[in-house]
Amino acid sequence: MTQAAELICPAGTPAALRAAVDAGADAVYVGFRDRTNARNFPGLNFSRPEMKDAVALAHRRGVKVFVAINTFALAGEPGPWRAAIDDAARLGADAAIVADIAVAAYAAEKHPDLRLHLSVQASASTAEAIEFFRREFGIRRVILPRTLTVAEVAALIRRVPVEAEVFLFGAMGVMAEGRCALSSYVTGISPNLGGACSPAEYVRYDQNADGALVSRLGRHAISSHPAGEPAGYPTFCRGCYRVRGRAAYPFEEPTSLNAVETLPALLKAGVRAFKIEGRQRGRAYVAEVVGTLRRALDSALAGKPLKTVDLRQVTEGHHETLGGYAKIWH
Amino acid sequence: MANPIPAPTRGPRAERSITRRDRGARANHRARIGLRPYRGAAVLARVLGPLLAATAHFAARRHPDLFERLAAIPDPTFAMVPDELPVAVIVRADTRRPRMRAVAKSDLDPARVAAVVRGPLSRLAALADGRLDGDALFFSREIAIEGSTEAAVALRNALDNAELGGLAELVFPPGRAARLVQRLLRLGGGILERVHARSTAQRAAP
Repeated sequence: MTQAAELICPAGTPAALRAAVDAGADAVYVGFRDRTNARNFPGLNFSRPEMKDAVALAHRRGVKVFVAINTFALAGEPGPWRAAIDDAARLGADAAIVADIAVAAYAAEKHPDLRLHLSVQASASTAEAIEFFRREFGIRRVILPRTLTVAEVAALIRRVPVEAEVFLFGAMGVMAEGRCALSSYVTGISPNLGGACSPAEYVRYDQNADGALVSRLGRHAISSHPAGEPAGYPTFCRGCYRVRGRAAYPFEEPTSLNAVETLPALLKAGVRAFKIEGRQRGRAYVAEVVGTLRRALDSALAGKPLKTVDLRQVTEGHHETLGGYAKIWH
Repeated sequence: MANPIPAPTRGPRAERSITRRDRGARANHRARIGLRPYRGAAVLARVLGPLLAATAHFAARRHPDLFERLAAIPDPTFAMVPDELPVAVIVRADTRRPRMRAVAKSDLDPARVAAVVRGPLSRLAALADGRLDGDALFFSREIAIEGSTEAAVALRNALDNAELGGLAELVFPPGRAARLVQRLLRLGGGILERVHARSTAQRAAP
């Protein structure tokens, strides 16, 4: 028999949290309005009073709240990360999602009752790495990197005594997460410390006379999408470059993960939670994606055949991929 | 092919020298590219003025969190430019002096606002209400952003969280009148969407 599994849903604002709860989330993950989380975007995230209300609302509806405190503390300046851990515990969060050893150590020492999940930003893809975080800081769940195949996920779950959470839908990350510095080279701001890859203040869009949309980070062009061609996020890993004389996406095309078809296999492998990416997205995205994937997960848990899920309208570049679950690279 | 628009000339004296024939050529050209005469846009902007001013007033009172999310933007002034209309809406999201007004598109100076968002009216309205996801509209190229991306992202997030529920909810207290206006706006939006779809199809035709 397949064991129960949770649907973990994103919320960048209180309105998105309400949308996620209404659409059938088992848990919602959120962040404070500062650099302690990996979606530190303008106008996004929760103030402390908003977080208090969000936790109360979610708990009234039987939904858990996980607080992402998943950037890396600045050397000599751990204050904001410690305050985030303290406040997550004080406001009644069901778990803190952490990546930094220093942040995990502080949480384990000061708030032993606060459940800790290991963020994908920790890029823990081996049993030894996961076991280290469990042994030293009492990590109860690991969010696995988006680079593993279904078989690799299954093999890892057999070797680690913590719950495994995997990404089911949303923006892709095919790099060693938490260690990518591509955007730092141009902006001087690290996504892993500041919480924003390609910070918005460095991004510009130019509409050419021929209708092409040119996205730039700092002084560097990332992509030029001809008129009518779907666009993607302005990050270097999704850039279109001239490679051996030909325009190509050498790292990653503008695309989104949709792993719904692997749900039965991942459940069989022992995955305990499925994550939807997208705290930076609007509440319309949250409502549509959460509702659709709620139905898909319920069908998979009941052993029913899965219906085709078409969410291309909300995907990056209007393109979907199985990503690492069916990877063809090493 | 010769340019139908006379070359711009400088100074009041030169302005007086523009003949009636030149003005006619300009008007014909503007009509061909889908722009109405300046005078029509100016009148429409003036007519919309009180409604937009009232909207800004009520939005500031009912949705202070909207403005609070924009507090980090130094000059939170935005232009929403609907494809179908000859006017642009300028929004100044400053809690102390919130303001909304319309200007003729020809009078819009993108350098004087933090960000410009362009797109079909129905899409801009849906973005303002949070009925459609801003990133999805951007990916599909239905909306376009100019100027400060930081300001545009903050605006999108602030609007999405505000759950404005339509222009009617802002101007009228909840009730039958608001629902009626909401319905009329939806009807108007539907008509605009059909007009937009038809004109897009005509432009795309060989």
